Amino acid sequence: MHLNVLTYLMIYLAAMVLVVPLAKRFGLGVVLGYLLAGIALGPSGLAVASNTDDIKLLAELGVVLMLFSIGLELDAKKLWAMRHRVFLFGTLQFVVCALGIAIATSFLGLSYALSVFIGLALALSSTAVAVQLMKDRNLMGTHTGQSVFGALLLQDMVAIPLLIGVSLIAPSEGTAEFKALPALAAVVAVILTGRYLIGYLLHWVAHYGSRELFVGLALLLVIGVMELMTAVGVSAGLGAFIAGVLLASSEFRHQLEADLEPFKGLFLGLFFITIGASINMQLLSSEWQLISLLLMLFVGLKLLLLYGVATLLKIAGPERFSYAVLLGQGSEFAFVLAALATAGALLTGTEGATLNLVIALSIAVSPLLMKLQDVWAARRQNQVQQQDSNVESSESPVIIAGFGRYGQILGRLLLSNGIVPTVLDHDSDTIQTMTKFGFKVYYGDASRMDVLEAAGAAGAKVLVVAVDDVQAINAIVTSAKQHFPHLTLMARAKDVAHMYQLRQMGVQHIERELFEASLRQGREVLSVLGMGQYEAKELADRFRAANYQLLDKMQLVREQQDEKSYIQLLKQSREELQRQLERESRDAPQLYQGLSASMGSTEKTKE
Amino acid sequence: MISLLYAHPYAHHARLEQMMLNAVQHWPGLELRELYQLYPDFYINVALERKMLQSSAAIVLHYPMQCGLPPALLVQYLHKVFQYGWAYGTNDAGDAVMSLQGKSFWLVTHAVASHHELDPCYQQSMFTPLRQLALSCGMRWQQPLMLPELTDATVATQAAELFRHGLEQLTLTKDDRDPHAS
Repeated sequence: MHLNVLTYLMIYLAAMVLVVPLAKRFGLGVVLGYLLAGIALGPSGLAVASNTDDIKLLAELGVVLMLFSIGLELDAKKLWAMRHRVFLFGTLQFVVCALGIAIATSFLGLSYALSVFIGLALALSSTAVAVQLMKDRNLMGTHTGQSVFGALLLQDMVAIPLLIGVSLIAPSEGTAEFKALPALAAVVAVILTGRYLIGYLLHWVAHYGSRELFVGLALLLVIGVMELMTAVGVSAGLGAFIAGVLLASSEFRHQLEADLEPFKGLFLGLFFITIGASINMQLLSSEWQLISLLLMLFVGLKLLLLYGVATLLKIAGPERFSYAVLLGQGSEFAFVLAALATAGALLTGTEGATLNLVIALSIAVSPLLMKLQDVWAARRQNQVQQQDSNVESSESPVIIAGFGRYGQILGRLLLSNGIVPTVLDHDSDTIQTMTKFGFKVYYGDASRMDVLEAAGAAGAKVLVVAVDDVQAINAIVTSAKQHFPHLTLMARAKDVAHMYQLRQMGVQHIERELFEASLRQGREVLSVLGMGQYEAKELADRFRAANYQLLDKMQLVREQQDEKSYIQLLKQSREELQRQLERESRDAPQLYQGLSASMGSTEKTKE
Repeated sequence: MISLLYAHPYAHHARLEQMMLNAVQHWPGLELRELYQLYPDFYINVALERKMLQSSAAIVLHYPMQCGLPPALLVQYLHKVFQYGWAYGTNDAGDAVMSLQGKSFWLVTHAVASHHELDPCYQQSMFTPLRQLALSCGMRWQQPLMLPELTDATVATQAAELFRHGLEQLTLTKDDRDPHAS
């Protein structure tokens, strides 16, 4: 029976939905769940995962999307700051691992050329696994995380000459040829379009298109880069990463991240499933002794080497093991290398299959080791708890949702005092004007949990909801309350009814949008009518206090839902407050009047 | 209850003073109210403040003194809360009122931005208007505490010690009073 792509997709998704929650339920983590689902689908399981080139392509898209979104989080400035980690530390890691593994393999009796090849291939680590594990544990911002990521970036670059090398030494048919000039041209093209063209395109679509179109454009961007890079033989992930970096300083960054997130997650899941499916259980069961020995040798050696590198990089003691585990597996890229080498007769068929199996198993072992490291770290937690807390938080403490007339004034007050708020707005015109004034404004719908998350809600302290639409305000508040309960919420209320609504939703700081402005103008009316400026201010203050008092009282009655007594009380309180205000307003000036009157009388008696 | 009214416009920057206050504020029955935190707009909730003062046995004002003057908000507070016709003087019906009569009144202060030691005589003269207010209100005037300039943690600890000692005296005088009264 011939199955089409959609059927495969269905089977894969079903496996995902069934197995991954189970794996998570038993504390095995998402990555391991996917791998298990893959094994279940693979040739030794249900055997439905044969001939899956199309799925593999989608899976690769997952990795590409991941690198794109990592690029989005690193603008050129941050990347430049990482240069030592990438080129110095990354090279160190790669050279040490490649040499160590090559020497060890030569002891196993393989030829020197083959040892060097295996050393180089196995020195690579899996970007997908490492980044996923780091994201799960929020390690990306830490010193260790940055070092791991730097090493991964360098490996992505090294992979290109490695591919060329293998195809030169062991030429075979059908390999994507690396063409130096077109490759260079493609990278330059990506940089130029990313820098100058894409920004306009995003603006244009955001302005004239609909929401889905924006998602479409984001996908088009990534797939376009992927196709281009694959055509010239450069790692598609690297191309996507460059595109991401170029868009990192764009105001659409958060929206792009949020829109691509679900695709990234799903396709990355597919990627792990395909790795699981490629585990050859038959070979494993027949040669399990040899394979487990090789696996232990490989993983043990790599961990040891990486631990050494971590020590050289001055990574703190307890973090060294994390560094080693995060980088301590074979790379998905090594599969490609192994396939090339087998095709070019550098490796025999069984050798290639064994190598593949060891790499796949090392990828499966990584999440388990990380789990072990978690348990170990949890024991030590008591001692190092304080160190962890201020690792990240490079994001702004304030997020402003909505940057119209209301949000702008608030934002300017903050900016003039050195606090750069993260601003979200869904009007691309506003964004364009505000960007000119030096604000960092991002395009996005703040009621979406993923947009808030991308804007750094997890690390922020305050969320100001300054949108002008009641529905939108309530949606943002609800979402923030649900997903980020630690945030102090401030919201703009349309009127009193809306204010009560927001109070009930648990918003701590509410301002009626026109209250203060009207009060202020009323104060000016009083002073134009001849009242002293200060006296007018005091009266306005008094009115405000009385108003809040009344509102609190009314809320109680409102909650009891008795309309008649509500109106009654409203009338009563108004009169009472009126009297109180009149009485108080006479008090203060009279005191001084009394004094001046008596002074006046003494002067008269003098005369 | 002892009401401690603290008036410092930039209290968050006065770290040593915060340190000292932290050491003091857990004194049993002490109620610390930071005026600049409560009334940043200079609009004072007079009714509430009067209620609080009336339920206190002693009123302590703690403030930095600049040019011999208390911070503006404290003056505003005294003008609004300690008003003629409530704290002293006569009411509308012509009866004398002293709503805070018998309560202890104690000032704790230190000079800010002064480059030289203040003449003790001059120091005392700066308290004259507040002393007059206390007398008009029928309150018990306590010898004000002039704290040293808080230069480091040790001085702050010493200052806290002085402060606590003064609070102890306040409690004593309060207890003393009863046998005399009966």
